[in-house]
Amino acid sequence: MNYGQRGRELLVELKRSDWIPSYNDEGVRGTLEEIRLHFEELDDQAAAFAGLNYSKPPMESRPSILLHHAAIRRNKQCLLVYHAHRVDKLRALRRETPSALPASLSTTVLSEAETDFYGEYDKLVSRYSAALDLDLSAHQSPPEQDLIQVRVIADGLGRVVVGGGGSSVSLDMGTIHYLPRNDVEHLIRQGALEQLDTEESF
Amino acid sequence: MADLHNLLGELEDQEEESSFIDVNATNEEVSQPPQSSSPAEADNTDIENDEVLERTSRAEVPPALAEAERKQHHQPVVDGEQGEEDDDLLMEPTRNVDDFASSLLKKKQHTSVGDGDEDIDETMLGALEDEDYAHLKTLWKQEVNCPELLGHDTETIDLFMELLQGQEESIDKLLDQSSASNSRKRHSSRSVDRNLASLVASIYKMDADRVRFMLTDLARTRLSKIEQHALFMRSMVDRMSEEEISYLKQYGELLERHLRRTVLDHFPKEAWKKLDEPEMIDSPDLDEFVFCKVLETVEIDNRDSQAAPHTQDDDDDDDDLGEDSIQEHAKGSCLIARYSAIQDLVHQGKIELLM
Repeated sequence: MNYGQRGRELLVELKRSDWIPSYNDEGVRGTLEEIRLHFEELDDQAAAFAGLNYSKPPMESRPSILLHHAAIRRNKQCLLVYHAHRVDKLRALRRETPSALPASLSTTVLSEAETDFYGEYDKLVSRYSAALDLDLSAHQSPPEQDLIQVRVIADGLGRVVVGGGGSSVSLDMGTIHYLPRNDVEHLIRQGALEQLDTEESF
Repeated sequence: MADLHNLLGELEDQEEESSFIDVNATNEEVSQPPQSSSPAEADNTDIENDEVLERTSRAEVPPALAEAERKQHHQPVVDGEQGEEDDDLLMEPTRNVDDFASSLLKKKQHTSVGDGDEDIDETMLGALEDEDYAHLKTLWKQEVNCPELLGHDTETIDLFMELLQGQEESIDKLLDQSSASNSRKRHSSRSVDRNLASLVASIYKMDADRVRFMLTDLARTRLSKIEQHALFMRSMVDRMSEEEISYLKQYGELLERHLRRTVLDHFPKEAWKKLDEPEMIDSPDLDEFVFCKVLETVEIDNRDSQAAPHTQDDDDDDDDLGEDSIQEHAKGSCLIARYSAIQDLVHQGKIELLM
């Protein structure tokens, strides 16, 4: 009977990892199991004095009842925090790169429920930004320049249509382009392009 | 500050260059010429017009231009923003550039065959937007810096959404103008006009970008506040717009479903499956410290509502840590304060939060 150790382990794991660790199914189940054990203890205690004619539990058993109850609450809190934290990270991910979840992520790191959550959340936010008629993921920072210089650092991007003229630009690896900020912002965020500041020399 | 006389000389020499419209010029290059063009604009003579046009045609969207213009015209800055010009240089004076650009177009009309009535409309539009723009900006600043959700200003937001669409249209129109050739005019003025149109188009685009950024950031901040304290926000529904309320509901359901599925349904006892016991709801941290600026004279900041009022209190009565004293602050003073202490005053509009 660990009195909240399992829960604590879950949280420590969260803290140690960069983004989120893979879903610790075992840990979660272990914690739930503990809760059940505590509950059974409580049940036993309640049964023990149910036979006697006390309406309230006797003095001797009160501390242990309180202890079990507190342990259950603690475990519940740990579990909720664990899941809420992972959900927070997912939300932040969706905020920055509004694309579908990469398949690798959904199989290794997230649980099934979390993948579903991400899908639903994605839909929710898209509906909201459509309703507002504002693209919530664009314009993450105040615009400083109309056209910015970018260098292509990812492969295989092909051609991209830019600008008011509708001309397309071929994004070959290592090339440098001077493009309108709006069109390339999402590519920069994805990491496909790198913005060159004016101080940089090449 | 550059040597303006030399610069004037330089620029006049380079007037005859073929490609004097360099829309790709960076802001740093042209921070000086606009200084000299502002007095020219105020003079409003025809002789100087062409020089002014050529000079500004170098500039893309020089913030210093509008800043200088604002100083020139002593435009009343609406809500006490004078102290913040440093970080405002980036964001603030677009309205004035708009003004300036449109009035330039108007003058161009006088010197050669003009473009039509739309320029006049744009000037009027430019003058009208100033206060609203400042208002939007304050709204955005406040929301970003406040730990809790502030009231939703539907009017301003709707106004700006409409404005954005109108601007997009003008941008498109101008872009067309800049690429079409007009055989009525003389060669030089035709290319000037076309280039000028594309310049103004890019100015408009920058402006639209800025407005759009503020609107999106406002929406994003509000949304993240709603999501973070979803349960708490149920009590603050009156501060949200229609869409936000429905968003809150859906998000709340989604979150609850997820947590139930993963955690709560496995609990043995029914009573423990609750998510919204009073101590479980996390409210935004109202004790966060914020920078703020006092807008109205003689504001009395209540540190501790149960304290007896000391009307003679000075600001430097630090012995009791200001915990239970009422302090007076004159208009224009900037403070760091716990948000809870100034919360009411912020809602009343007497204190403004700063970046």
